[in-house]
Amino acid sequence: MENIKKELPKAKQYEGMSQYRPPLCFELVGMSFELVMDNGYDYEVSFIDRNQLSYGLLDGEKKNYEYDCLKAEDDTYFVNFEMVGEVPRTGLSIILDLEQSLVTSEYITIGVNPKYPKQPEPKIIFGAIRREDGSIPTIRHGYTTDMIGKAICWNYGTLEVVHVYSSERYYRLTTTKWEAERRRAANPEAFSNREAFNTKRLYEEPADYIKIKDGIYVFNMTETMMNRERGQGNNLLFLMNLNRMYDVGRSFGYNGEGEPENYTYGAYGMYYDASDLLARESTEFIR
Amino acid sequence: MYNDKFVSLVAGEIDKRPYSAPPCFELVGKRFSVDFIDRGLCELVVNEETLEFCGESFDYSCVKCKEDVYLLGFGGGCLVLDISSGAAVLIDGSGTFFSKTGNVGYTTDLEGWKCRACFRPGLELDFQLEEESIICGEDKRDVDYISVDDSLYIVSANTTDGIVTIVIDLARFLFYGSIADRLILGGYIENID
Repeated sequence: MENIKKELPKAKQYEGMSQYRPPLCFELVGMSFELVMDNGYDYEVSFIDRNQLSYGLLDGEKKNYEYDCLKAEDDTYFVNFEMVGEVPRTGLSIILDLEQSLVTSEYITIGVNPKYPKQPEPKIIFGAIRREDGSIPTIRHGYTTDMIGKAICWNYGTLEVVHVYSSERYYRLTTTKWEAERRRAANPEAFSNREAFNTKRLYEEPADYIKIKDGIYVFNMTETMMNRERGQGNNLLFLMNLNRMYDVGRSFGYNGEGEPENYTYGAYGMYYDASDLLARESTEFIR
Repeated sequence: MYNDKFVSLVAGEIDKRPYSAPPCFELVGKRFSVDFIDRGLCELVVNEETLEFCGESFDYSCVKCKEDVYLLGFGGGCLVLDISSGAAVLIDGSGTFFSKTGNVGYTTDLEGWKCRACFRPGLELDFQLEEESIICGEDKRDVDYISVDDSLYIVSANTTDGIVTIVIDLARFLFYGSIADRLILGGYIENID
């Protein structure tokens, strides 16, 4: 047989990390949930079809939005949508935990920081899903220290990174040894410059860690250092299933061309030894 | 636990930590009739924890490979079902069966490709897809290449640990797979230059 070199087909359009996103989940289509939130407001979210949901105050106006839904675990769903039309620009991500009738939501706004207009400002609100019998649980998802000291290498298809969950309020970023070697070989000068920067300053960003249930965590981080250094940086929200080493999530902010982006992704992970990085003192935040 | 060298490599740690997508319940409560070539009409009824296939009940698991396409593992084998086109491929101990509906069948589309499959960080394997066989390092084995639609393919091979079935979505460069009926494989795929 003639030996023909073939290539896999190219993606129809560049989707960045979203290219390797797992298939969207349609299990919630046709379902509605009353969200009793701890900010004092009750909301209703209804999944109209595969593409649209309606969301709004329980006793108020609802609007339709296009959404993505991914699942990280049997009964835990990650729902993400842009609240188109809101000023300032606003996104909403909702983690629906149907096993425990609990919800954690993150409102994210952008354009409110006068010095860093591309810096996202997240607000996490906990709450409960009203059960069929009208009751709501008293317990909530909560902030946790379970992740401190751990590091996981996540592969997003086009990108492999190591998230180092360094302390209760911050996270650090690094690469694996094999990825570092690959980058060194690809561009030795850029690699050397990056290494020099990393020696002087330790890249670190504010983060939140929330426990949903055993093995299931939310990791939220905002690229504030990047905003100060480069004028832009996103908010990334992850729903991690450490029983399967699998995560789903989304990035909200602006891309390199200054266009708004709000896209979902998924990854497979593996624990990684980042003890060297964990041992370093912060150069960015006094503590 | 596994005898086959390749299976042991990709699945060796699975029992400690699955590295795979969570189960999909979109088919629960649904019923399908699939008319297979050389096997006849089979009814599929999907319940929460079991399914009925051709009148027999099985424990099962299901992952979603693509919009409207599902991989179900049961009875020692697996079923790839496209609910939008009605296409189905059944791979079990008695053979490979194609639905009369849809455009499924053996294909040569994949022959000649070199690709890298990432099963998890740190486990990337390079494959050379040849005529009716696949090469990974020094391992060469016979495979079947099956086309489900214009971007969804199945590669299946017999091993001493059961049939390995990999469903590849070339629209998103994802793959999902099973060893016998255990849906424990998944990852990304990319070109090798």
